[in-house]
Amino acid sequence: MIRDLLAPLGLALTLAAPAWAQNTVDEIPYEDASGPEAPAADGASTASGEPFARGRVAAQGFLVDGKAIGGLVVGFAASAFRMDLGFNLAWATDERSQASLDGDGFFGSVVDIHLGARVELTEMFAVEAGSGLDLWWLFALHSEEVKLAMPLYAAVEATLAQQFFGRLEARGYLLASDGLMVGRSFDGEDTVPLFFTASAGVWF
Amino acid sequence: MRALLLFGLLPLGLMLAGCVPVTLDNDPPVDFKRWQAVYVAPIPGADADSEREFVEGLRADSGFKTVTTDGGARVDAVLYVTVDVSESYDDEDDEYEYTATARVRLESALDGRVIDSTEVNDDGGSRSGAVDDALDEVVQHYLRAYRL
Repeated sequence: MIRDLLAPLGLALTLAAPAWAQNTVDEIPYEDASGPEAPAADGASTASGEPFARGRVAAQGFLVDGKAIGGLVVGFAASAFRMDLGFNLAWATDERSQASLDGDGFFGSVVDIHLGARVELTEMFAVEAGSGLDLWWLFALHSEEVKLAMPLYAAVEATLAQQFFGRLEARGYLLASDGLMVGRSFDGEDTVPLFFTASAGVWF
Repeated sequence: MRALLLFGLLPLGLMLAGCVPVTLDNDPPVDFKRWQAVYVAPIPGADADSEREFVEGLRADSGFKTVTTDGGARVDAVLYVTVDVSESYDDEDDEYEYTATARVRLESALDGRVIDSTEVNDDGGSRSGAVDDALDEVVQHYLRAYRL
């Protein structure tokens, strides 16, 4: 009875789902097709809507001048929405920055928590825009030295073989703590207040 | 073709990246070139361990070149800090919470004029923890100038 009621819902979700979600439906294994997680009547979805939620993990790099920043991003996508949590370690590579730091230029980490909306352009390409919170934690300088920013980002993403993806993101800050300046050089010259990140990873 | 497009994104990003800097800096509340040596006066409200940790924190992270607790040393400035702790009981968690407030005043050793003053506070699960955290915020207040 419940399955009969949920079947139309599964069909509706299937129609609303992005291409990548629909393409993975057949790959989801079911140990017992007659059990509670069995596919709905249309064969495109489980009653619980599982095919529309996927996780992913990626390596990420910040493409910024004078710093080496990179780390790991763990994400979750459901229908047209996506949420990512990134943890990156950061080094200053500009020699002039070394005067402010001890050792090898390591200064802390960047934690980014982003929520975005995706639009699937094709089976392979998607674009995305969103916002969130970037936390620049300069713990090598002091354990409580933190700069916060509210980013606005736009990204283009390409998926290969329904599993591997590459992503390029442009990110600017709508709001930022004093002393966190995107687009300003060490010498104080201003350029475009946007920086890029690139990532590559796998859906699971 | 798809792979070419996909992995073409990375070089494209790298090309775009070279010209986009992100700079981090801070603006210290005092001119550390002018006020290089500071005497830290005894801190009412903090025990000896907290006081020692505070002085070590200033030596490690602040912009002061010399931090001393020797009252006879030649210094540029004197740092006065007092700490008050308030205690409250949290019914839900069935435990006490402590809030330490550190009031800070940096004076010229020469003429006693106030160079800087501030007030910071922090919470902790213990009295000493709250005091240490508040004093750590004072260290952060006097964090050395940096530009990355």
